[in-house]
Amino acid sequence: MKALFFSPRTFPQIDRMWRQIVFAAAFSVLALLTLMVLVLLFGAMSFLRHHGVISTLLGHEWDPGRGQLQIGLFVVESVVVAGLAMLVAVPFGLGVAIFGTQVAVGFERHGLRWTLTIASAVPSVAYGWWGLAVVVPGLRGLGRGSGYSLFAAGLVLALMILPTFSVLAMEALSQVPEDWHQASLALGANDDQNLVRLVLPASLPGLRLAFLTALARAVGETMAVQMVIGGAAGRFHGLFGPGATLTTQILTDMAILPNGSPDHGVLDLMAMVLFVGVTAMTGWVGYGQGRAEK
Amino acid sequence: MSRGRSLHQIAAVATLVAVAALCWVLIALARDGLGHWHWWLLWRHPREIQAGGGVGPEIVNTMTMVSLAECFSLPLGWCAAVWLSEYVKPSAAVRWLERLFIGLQSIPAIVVGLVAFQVIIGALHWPLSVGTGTVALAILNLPQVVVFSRQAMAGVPQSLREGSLALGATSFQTVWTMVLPASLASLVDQMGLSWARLAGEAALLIFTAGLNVGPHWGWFQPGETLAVHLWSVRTEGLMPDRASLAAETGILLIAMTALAIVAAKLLSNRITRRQRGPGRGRGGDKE
Repeated sequence: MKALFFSPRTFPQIDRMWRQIVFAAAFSVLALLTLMVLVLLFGAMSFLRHHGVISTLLGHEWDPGRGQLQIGLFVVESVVVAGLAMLVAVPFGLGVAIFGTQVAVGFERHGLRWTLTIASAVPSVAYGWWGLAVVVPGLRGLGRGSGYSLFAAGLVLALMILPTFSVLAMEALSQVPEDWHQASLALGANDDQNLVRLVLPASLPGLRLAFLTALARAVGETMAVQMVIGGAAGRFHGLFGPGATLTTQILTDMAILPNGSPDHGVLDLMAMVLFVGVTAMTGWVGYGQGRAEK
Repeated sequence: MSRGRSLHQIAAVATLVAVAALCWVLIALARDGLGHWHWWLLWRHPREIQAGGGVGPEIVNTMTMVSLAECFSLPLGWCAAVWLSEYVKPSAAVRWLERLFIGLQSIPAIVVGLVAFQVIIGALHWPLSVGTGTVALAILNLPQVVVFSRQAMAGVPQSLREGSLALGATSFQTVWTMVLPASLASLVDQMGLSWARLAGEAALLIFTAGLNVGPHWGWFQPGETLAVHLWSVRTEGLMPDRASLAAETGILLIAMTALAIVAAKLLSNRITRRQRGPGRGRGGDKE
């Protein structure tokens, strides 16, 4: 093996072959993903040809049996649920990151990092299970209707994205060079001043990455939300009432609008909205990082 | 405590609350699941309406589908990452390409599931099966593999590449004997994380692999995994022991993902230590 790979006689050919292999790999990955986008685009376009663009995107009526397919409400409820999750998760996540990088040492720091890594890989259905076992009965006990609600979905999502956000934020905060800490402390800053005036501003690009990655995960999550949101379409029932997001409604209606049914394209449209939203968000992160490096 | 540490104290309290909430999930699962734990869960077939079903086929499906999906997506993603990091000349188009991959990394699983449902099942007429689910998992995994491996290879110092090329190595030899070994630890680490992520995936598999299992394993047999089983038992199960069964499935699933991550992490630490060589103290703890 080694003799073949590294003999001077064969390596020009192997070199050329290797270059072709990796190019083919990169090309096929790109082709596969492009194909995926094209399938969605095609489906969404063929749906929009028969339905008004404005009313579909902004309306709230939803009744697949009568051909009323307007997705505006799902977009709004997706934003509400993800926004609520971020509102809860970000302060706690920042706290974890600050504690993990500025205060904890040795065992505490190591243990925290392991806990978060494992928690961030806990399957979303497990968080959904927790929502059904704890959050929904809890809200019901507080007299908030059945408990299946946008609020419950937001809380479950908050817990789900907390480890993701914390790990990335910890990474961002730990990137601040030790010299800068020393300089700041030598100038007489106390620990809090050091944190607010040096550490947080210096790690802002990384924190933005953490924020948007967590937000993308919250917007794109299906299972944990589907289990606790109650699945009500057509009308806004309030924060403590049942609802449906883009992701959960795609899942629900894949059975109602199967392949080949005339209105199946609306699912493509919903997926397209999700896809564009999430990719644009994280693409913006790439932009921010590119600038920070310069 | 000295003055000027109040923010840090608030952070410590927030950490305590956050960790307690995360442990709450595990404790709730353990409380509901371990009380009724039976070892036959690991090999019995699931039952629709009676109590006493197991998750044997689901365990096999999870292991095989995720591992096969990794076998498809890791080599392809690694090669694509090598091209991005070693061969292509940096330009505006390439920067956009990388940005696109970073964006695609967080593509919602349900979107991939919908496309797989339309193309593999709708156009190619594959059944709801192990095979369909495996392909869908592999596609979901691809962007993340490319981005992570690209980052791992970018972490290899440029000077090492220049040294290798200056000694007369070709670009293939440079990649094979220098870049890949130098980034091996991160690649292994990433493998564990992506294995765990795919094993916990459910939204993607409901309409590609299905909600039941066949009498035996097969590429075109229905391929419910543990995560899907947990969801379907908890939300629409009819068996009388569904509450404890769902919790037990959850415990198994979390144990599996945690094991994958820890094993990969230990292996990658070991590789790092090996590469640093003997007599350099306890290495391997990267900060």
